[in-house]
Amino acid sequence: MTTARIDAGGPQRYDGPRLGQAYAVRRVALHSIARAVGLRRGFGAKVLPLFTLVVALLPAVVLTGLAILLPDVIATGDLPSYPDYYGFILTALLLFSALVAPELLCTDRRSGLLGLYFAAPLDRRSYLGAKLLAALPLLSLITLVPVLVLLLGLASSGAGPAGLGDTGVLLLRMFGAAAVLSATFAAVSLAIASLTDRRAVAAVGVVLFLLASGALSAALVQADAPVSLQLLDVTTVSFETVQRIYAQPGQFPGLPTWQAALGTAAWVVGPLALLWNRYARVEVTR
Amino acid sequence: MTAPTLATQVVTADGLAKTWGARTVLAGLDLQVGAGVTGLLGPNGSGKTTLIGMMLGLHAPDRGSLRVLGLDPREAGPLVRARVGYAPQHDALPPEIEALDLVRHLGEVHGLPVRASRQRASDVLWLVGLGEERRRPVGTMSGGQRQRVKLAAALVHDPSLLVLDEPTNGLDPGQRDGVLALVRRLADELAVPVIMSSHLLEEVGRTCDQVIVLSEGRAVLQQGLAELAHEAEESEDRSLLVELDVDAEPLAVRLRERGLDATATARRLVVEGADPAPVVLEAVEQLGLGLRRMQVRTRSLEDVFLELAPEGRT
Repeated sequence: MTTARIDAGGPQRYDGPRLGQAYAVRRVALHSIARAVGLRRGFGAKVLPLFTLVVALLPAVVLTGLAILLPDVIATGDLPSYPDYYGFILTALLLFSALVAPELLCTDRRSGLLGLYFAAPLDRRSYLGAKLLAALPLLSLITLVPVLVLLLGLASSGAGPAGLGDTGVLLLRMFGAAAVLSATFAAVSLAIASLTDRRAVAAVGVVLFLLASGALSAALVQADAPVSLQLLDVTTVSFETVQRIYAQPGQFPGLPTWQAALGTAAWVVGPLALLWNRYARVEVTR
Repeated sequence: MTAPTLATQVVTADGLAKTWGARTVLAGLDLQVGAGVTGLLGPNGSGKTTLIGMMLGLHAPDRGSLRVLGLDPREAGPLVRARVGYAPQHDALPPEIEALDLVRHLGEVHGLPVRASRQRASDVLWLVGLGEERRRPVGTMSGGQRQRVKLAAALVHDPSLLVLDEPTNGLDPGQRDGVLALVRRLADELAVPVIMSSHLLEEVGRTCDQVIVLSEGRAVLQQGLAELAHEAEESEDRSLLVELDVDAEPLAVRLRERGLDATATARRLVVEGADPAPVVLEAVEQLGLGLRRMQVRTRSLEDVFLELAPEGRT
């Protein structure tokens, strides 16, 4: 019996361009985004992100439907305003943060892929940059897309902002609010996810932290605590800042806007410092 | 198999030192690595993985200098890492990702454009024998296949140096043979210098062109294996292995009386010295013992290793 063999010749030497660290950061960010929403993964990995997105979008769709079907409701101003809409996305934002951050960080550490990343042109700073670059647009699916859908829906039913100027201002406020919420929740949830290699533990940790933060806030309000102590609650302070972006008095009119902004900034910078500290100590090889 | 020359050196270390806490891992390490496959041999904890981490610019040495592909990894870490293919000893593959997706992604992270990375990922997976399996999630693969995926990931960006940290770690003998044969083939066909760390003498002996033995943070041997084998062949340092059908101690006593260095273990006897066979045969005849086997033992790589790195004895 004779045997035949097809020799493909193997890979050729590569003499094309080698793109730099910035390109590597973008590829890691894109890969992380795809993984977090379950792309190229099984159906199970897609269910929860999709469900959360539906939870965030559903009120916008319902409100748009109401605006189309019941224009009188719009006329009497009974529909929630744009800044009010952020109350609808709070649960979805909490859930999505708990899903996304552990997927972004824990999986790489647990699987050992982090070692392969650090053996590539990435370093700790660029790696974390890639993960933040992934987290911000992911959380914007919750913090920006629903209000944009609402704006589109209301505008198409004739209940949108009057004129190009108002629309521009509203869009700026939407992007500003999304940036504030995405940055705050990304920083907090990534910092918590950096504390463990286990996704489930990290997810529970994110939820518990944010719920505890909310409970603390509620307790402080009931105890007539000084308004400035509201800054201790990440959810309260970031949502208060969003209200100020929309030029609303917010839940705590006595709290100066700069204090709300400072409190929110602290909730971004503090967790990011913890995140950096954790990754500065990660052992890759020894 | 030839020892590397200065012109082909891809890694040079001079007086490299590193301590982790109170433990000295590298204590003035000097080495040169050139073309072919270089085995980095040493017992666990001898500093192999730390040295690899330094080559990749992941750890800074406390003192000494290191150059990889002509660059200092401390100053040009990303540049070095873009040109080095590294396969770690630990499991580093997310289980649910298809092999092709993972290798392609790692090609991109090493700077290859999307299309080139996709093409090369497919090519290297065929090269390592996983062409038909490239769409399988890594978690469904055997240990040997996952090791091949790591090799493919290390090769996808066409590195100028391949660094394999214990590439047969956790594999069964069949898988180990396959991976070692593949490493040899990659070095021969792609002409990529390979550094392969191992604590197993046998696999270094059959795969590598050159061996560097690390012991207590220093390179205690750095030599071409062909040269080492030739030296052993020519060496006066031989011994005679004798196997009897009865306990060998009486024969050992008799040989020691005749001035030979003889050590008995049950029915076996090892006699040191130049050509002791005639004396041994005479003594066996005088004692009326049954001789089952007599064999000249030359100095092996294992003997060299155990002399140079006695802490590797298990």
